[in-house]
Amino acid sequence: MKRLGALLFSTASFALLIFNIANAAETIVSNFTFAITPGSANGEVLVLSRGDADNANGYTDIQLTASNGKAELISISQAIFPKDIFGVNDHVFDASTAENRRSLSVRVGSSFVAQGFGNDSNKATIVPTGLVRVLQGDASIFDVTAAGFNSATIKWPSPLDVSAHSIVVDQGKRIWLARGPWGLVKSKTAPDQWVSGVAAINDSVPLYLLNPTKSQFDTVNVAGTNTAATIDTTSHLPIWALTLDSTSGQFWIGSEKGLWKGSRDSSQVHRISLGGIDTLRITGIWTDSIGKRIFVESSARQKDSKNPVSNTTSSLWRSTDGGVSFTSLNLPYDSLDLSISAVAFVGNEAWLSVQGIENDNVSGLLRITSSGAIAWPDSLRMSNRSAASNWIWGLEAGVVDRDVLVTSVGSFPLGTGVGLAVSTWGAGISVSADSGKTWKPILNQSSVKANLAEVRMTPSVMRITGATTQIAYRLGQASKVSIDVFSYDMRVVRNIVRNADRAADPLRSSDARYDVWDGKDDAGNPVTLGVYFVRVRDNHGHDAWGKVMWLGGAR
Amino acid sequence: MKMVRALLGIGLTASLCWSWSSKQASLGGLDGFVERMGAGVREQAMGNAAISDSSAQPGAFWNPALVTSSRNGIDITLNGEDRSLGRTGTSLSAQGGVGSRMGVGFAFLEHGTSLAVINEEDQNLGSASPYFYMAYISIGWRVDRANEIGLGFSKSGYDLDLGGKYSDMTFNNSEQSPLSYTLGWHHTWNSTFESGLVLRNLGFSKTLTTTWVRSPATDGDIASSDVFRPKSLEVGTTYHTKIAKRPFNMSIEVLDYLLADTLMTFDPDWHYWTARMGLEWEAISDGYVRAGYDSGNLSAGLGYRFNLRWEKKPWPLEVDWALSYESVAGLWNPLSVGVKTRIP
Repeated sequence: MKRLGALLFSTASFALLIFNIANAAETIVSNFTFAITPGSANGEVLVLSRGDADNANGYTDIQLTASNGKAELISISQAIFPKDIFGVNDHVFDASTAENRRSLSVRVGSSFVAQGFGNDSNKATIVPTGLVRVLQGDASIFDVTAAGFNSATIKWPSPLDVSAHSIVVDQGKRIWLARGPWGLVKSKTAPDQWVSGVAAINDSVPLYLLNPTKSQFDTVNVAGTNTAATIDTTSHLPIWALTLDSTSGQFWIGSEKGLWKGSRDSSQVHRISLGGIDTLRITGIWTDSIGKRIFVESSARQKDSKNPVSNTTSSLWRSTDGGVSFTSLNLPYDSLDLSISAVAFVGNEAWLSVQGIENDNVSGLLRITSSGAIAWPDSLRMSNRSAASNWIWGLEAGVVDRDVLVTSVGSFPLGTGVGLAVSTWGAGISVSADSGKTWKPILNQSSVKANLAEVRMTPSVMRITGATTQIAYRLGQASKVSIDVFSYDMRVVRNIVRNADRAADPLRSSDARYDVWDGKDDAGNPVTLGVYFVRVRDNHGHDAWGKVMWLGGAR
Repeated sequence: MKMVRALLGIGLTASLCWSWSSKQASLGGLDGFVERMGAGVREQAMGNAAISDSSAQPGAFWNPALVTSSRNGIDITLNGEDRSLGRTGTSLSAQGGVGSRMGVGFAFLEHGTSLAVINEEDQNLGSASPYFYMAYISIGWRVDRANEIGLGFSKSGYDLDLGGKYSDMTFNNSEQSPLSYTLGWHHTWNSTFESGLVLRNLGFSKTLTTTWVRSPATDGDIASSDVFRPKSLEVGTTYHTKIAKRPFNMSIEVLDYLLADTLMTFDPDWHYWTARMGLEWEAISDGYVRAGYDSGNLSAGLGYRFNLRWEKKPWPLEVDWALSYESVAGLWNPLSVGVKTRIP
């Protein structure tokens, strides 16, 4: 007898709401997206997701087209990763330096390759377990394989140290990885040739370690050895970043001490000075398709006389002449305390996706032209925001339509121009077909019955402190909408919007920028644990109700 | 006439309190919504204004002093309701006399609903039927012909029914509050006036507040929170007269919730005031018409008592129905039914 009430009202009281769980065409593997990779076709992007639910980890293949300067969705298909393999590590938001704060994904021929992470004994997803390949046979058929890493026991302080911090495709379509103290490693074959179940990178693949004294790569064979013990860490520099100069075929190499350029095959490398400094800890390098524009990120954890507690010191450098000279970027970058997860080049502009290191609520895009970074236009500036925030394009600038973290950015051919896409933590992706002037969100979301026949709360159980729930509904006609949250005994605890204009929509009419509830009352205090009811009322006489369970609160 | 003026005065005070309480509602929801929704269909029809009405049941819930009113048998009530939006609840109570001066009683209230569990990915994980409950046990003592006092104990709890829904989180599906206690006093002034005073949800702490740590998840994925149950001071009076030569009762009460974990504060920001009023008229012999007001909500109801006999002893069976209107939400609740009997 679970409930006494069932004795009296068993037939009348527990009629369940039947939700339409069949998704429309817009179905992303997970709305928690972390990397954007251009596909092989015009308008195609591959989106890397990591979600909590089963089957919420993998790639989504999204086909877009441009119509009148707007991005329009054509089709979506999915490739789910093997169980317990994730494309995103657990510290992507809270790692103290930049090299572990990005998720890697590249396209090589018909394959898409991401780094796979597994769980350690504490169920922390930090153990690099291989490369995940998604082979695109046709529009919707994929073959997912995990190519093993070096099988030696990882005994570094953190397995993340020897994970891949950069993935580069050389001119022979082989994969190169920058693995920190383990230097560089190269796949035996191109990903299109990988055989399912056979490791493309294993013990038999040598490591290439950067020897700064000799300005060369030393080759180390680790087959049958304990890799960590085999590597001479005193004579070699960890490599945190790698990219290919497509013009010369040489690598740009970001090391623990300095930026280097050279070739593994010739074994010769030379150090590049950044503003007269040649010992910066380089954690990211990005170049455009012709190798002319280059961004270099430095990120280090250090103490100084002013800050006895370790702080992350970051700097951003740029070259517009193919690396002949570098200058520090012209914006208050240090004060922003940012790391860069990706760079997209669109025309003369570069869009850098950035995340705050100490302040992990900061994220968005830096928009950089030949004359420097572009701050928000005056119309968007807010008196209550710090001046530094005005450089980061995000919610206020319309890049995303709700308050979520921006995790990455990518560009891809779209129509006759170039499309932009940003990944987000919880809101799918936003795409732009007009160089960032307007953005369109694409999410995994269920359709909602029309004419306020249903209110769908996503999620309907608010489990995490600081979580919000989206109030989704659908209108048959443009309306003025009021939304209130009621306690179980039908007292109003929160007004979300009052007479707000909302448009009719074939899927959902809710405006995620406003129609969310954060579990607080009108005074800003968390409400107590319980079930709450959300009423959406339009100006045409329709009411609809949703239910949400809130597990936080202090009263 | 003096009494009528007094009642009008209380009513005016209650109205002012309600307008004031509208401002205080911005402080957020109060814990114990199950308790605020009341127990007993008759009492629901009368706006839950019951602490001074010696006929109100369950006494263990409304005013522990009232359990002494069941001296000639064991009074049992069973109530159920199905409110709008799938909110269903029941209450069960029993109370009876012990010796010539003492009474004991218990009551159990529960309310719950069902909802689709949708995760952050907008995926349905099934459904959950969470419910919340409160249990009461009370002892009353008849001090003299005009005064009764009572002491009651209560616990609350919930079951989230989320077990197995999330692979990444283990829930404490069932959590209970520590014991609270309630003090009650009932006074009969004369044949027309009664009054009641209740200090509800006191705790065994220096501030007399019931506090505890709530941990919805077992593995710390949801931060534990320090919670307390607001104490309340409730004062009410009931007036008995006749209309068209038939009995008519009118009850009014005011409630003051203290929203802070302090022994006492006079800062109005930490108080939540509200008022209740109920009317009952025996329109026909053993047939009752009722109406009420509770914190902005309106209610009405009917009742009829069947005077049955069992083994030559009287065995009354009263059937009550209530209709309530939750005015702010605009919801009608027509399905509240209760039965009440006395086992001789």
